[in-house]
Amino acid sequence: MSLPPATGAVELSSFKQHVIRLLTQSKRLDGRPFDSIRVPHILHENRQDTKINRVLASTLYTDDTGTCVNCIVTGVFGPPPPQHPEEGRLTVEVTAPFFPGYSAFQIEGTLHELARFVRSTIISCLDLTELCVISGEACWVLRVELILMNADGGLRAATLHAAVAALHNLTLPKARLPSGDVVESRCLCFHRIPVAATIGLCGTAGSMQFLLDTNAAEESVADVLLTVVIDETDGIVSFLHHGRFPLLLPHLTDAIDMVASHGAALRSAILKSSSPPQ
Amino acid sequence: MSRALLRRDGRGHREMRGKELRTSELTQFDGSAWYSQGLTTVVAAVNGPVAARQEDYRKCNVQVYVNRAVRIPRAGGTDRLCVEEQRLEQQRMDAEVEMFLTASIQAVVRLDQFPRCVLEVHVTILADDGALLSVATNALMCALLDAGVPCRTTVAAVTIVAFAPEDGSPVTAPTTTTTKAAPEASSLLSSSLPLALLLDPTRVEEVGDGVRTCATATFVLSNSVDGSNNSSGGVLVSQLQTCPRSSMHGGRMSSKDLVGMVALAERAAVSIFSFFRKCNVPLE
Repeated sequence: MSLPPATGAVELSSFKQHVIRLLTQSKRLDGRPFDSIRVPHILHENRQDTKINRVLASTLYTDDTGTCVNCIVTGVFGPPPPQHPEEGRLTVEVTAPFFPGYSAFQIEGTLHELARFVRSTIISCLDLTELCVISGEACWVLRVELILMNADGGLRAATLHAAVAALHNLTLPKARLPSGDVVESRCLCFHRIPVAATIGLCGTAGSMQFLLDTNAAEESVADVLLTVVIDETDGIVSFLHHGRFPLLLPHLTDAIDMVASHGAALRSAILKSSSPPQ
Repeated sequence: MSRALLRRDGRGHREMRGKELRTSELTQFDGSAWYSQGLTTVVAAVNGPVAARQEDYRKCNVQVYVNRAVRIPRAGGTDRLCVEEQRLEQQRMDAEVEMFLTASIQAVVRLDQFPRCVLEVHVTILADDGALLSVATNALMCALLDAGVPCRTTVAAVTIVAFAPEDGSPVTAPTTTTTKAAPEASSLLSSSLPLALLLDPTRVEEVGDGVRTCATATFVLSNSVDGSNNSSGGVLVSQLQTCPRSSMHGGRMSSKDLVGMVALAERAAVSIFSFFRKCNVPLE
């Protein structure tokens, strides 16, 4: 699910032992409490050459401990998908060019799974019929490119937040079709805003401890990892979980409630700077 | 309303498709399993643990390769871009199956007993007619048992589709005339009535009609510790994804619906465990 932590010169096994020792003392590597999240910061780039590069939006997602995701949205006209001629097309690409030390096979599988997760979550919150220009003939083809510059755990949440911040209130510009018809500009809107968080669960000394918004070191030692995506009404948009021991139902609902308690803060942090300062 | 609602293949809502299992057919692997539920067929083959070089040497490493027997052919003309996107989407679904199976193996196999080793799994999807993640996980479980890899427990995977019940649709139809009350009425109706569940969906049921199908979930459940047949040991791996185009029509998925899905999956896993046990009868 996540890339291994960058331990520098320290051996990975010794680093894991160090993190486990800290967790048994009820401490985290970055000194956060167990139920706190890293508040994301979204930067929007204003480009003057939008029409030349076809770049519609460009955002930079960071949080306090160094996760950095760049999201670039480009749009062109194209044919609609044959299964749904009344909809537009949305593709998501995830690349990680600054991780040369890892196995290329593992990284590629992780990035493919990330792209599928981000795309399926976004199209379940976004009306793709707004991208339709002429039903059955022409539509907007939006390409969301996510570049992982630095990853410190919570990859699914970070990439999803970066893509949602870029696509929310995205303005499709006024353009001309090859047939000469003029397409008016349009604003893209989500009918529900998804926010995500990764929760780790450690079974230390018989008791289970929830770690909200895990980093890469905690994800490598946690027994169970959950990724919860919710909307404004605290409805579940997506839910993924895997671990070394089975979870019972109260643990699953506790994890959802833990993310729901921070949903408003996450949503305001993503949407606060979504309008470019112009 | 005494007539029971049936699906298009004649099954009830909580009835699984026919299961078929063959093991030990691929002789070049340590363990193999050919498993199908309905038309969805997956072949899983296990090699290892064998000695290999890797960074984390304290436990066994897991490599899962997912392939498909039939891929979308290439196309030309204006459809080429759409066909390439579908091929890419299929490759990403293979990566999703890969991640899901890797998480299942890490949860089940006692990897710490094999340091400096690699467990290699080759999964080939022969046909995909829905519930692909659960069929692949069940095939993998049988292949691991056939290879003699030590496992903590046996697991069974179940896929469930949640959709809005049909009783709400006649009430929603008259209220569409009043445009202001329609979204509130539909959201109130959807929140009051619990979601109906379909067990072991086909591909058509997974895609749904775009309005009433809310979510598709796959749960991997472990066997109970005391070996009783009326309960399972909990959820090991789970994946829930809401369907596109349904949340605009008030299709909300709450924690209660998740609890109901897990409860139904636990009851369905008992039948899969008994199916595994019956297949373990030695030949005479």
